[in-house]
Amino acid sequence: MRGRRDDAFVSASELAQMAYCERQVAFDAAFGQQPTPERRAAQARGTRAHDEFYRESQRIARNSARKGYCFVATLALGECDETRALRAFRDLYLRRTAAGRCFIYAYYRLSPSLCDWMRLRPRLVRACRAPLRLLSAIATMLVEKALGADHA
Amino acid sequence: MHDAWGAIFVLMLFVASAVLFARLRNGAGGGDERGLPRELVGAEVAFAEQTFRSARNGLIAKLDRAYRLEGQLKLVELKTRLSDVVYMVDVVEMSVQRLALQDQTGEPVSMDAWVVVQSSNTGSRRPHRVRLLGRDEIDSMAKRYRQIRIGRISDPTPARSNAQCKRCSHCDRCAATFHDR
Repeated sequence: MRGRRDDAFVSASELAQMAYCERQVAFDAAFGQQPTPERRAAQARGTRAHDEFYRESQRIARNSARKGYCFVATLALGECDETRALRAFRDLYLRRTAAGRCFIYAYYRLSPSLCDWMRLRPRLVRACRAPLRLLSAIATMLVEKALGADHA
Repeated sequence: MHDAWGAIFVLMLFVASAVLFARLRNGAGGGDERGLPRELVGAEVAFAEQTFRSARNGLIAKLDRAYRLEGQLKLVELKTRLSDVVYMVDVVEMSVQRLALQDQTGEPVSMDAWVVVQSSNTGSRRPHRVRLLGRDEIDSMAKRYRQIRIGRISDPTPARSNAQCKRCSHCDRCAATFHDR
């Protein structure tokens, strides 16, 4: 149920109706929406599919968060600008090529075990910080270059 | 004998190619990511089933899913249909979502979006890339929408095909008013 505040707003589905039939918009305004049985059945099907799609979205979001934690960089540096730069590098460069996507896939498969192994070796985690910061600085430069090129 | 093995090999190659082709056409993702385009497989879901408003244009939209990818948000909309097609209705709906999401969050939203069409018969999904409309086009459409709602426009455009009219509950009323259906 839309609140009074939303009454002044035009919804996406209402406006989309304009691309279908403007006369229907006019008749709906004058006589109210009168969905046919076919339309009601289609809406019910759509609602069921959307419920499933939403559950999938939640699972993907949870997996994304888990994958983020599994990054060795997150383990060594925590959640910070450096890790965000490495993720942006992943999306901007690695994800754009087949080889890069294979690397991401393999890395996500291996990184949880690697992180578990590293967690028991704090010296190794500390030793990884400097090279990771260097990698992150390079990634930042490349990301800024790519974003600059995209927005040019 | 060699010919028989050759024929079996060609047949197996054909079947493998068909499976690979179908998989590529249906998007690379499996399980929760089925039907998604390759670029979104493994990407971060930023928003799902959330409502956003554009105070600037007076628009409200609930989006199915938005991914954060390459420094911007990318919209995905699920449609359940008998046939695997994308309509202009989808483009308009997602263009409104784009403006609402961009205006409320301040994050840039890509002009390219994906419509995932799920077959109502088989449940299989196929992604379709769409190019969204800009702010000016949506704004003028919203103005016209408001004018039509209050009866200021006397000649609203009809549906493109009579087949659409047959599914409309206002069909008789429309025929009696405009005499062209």
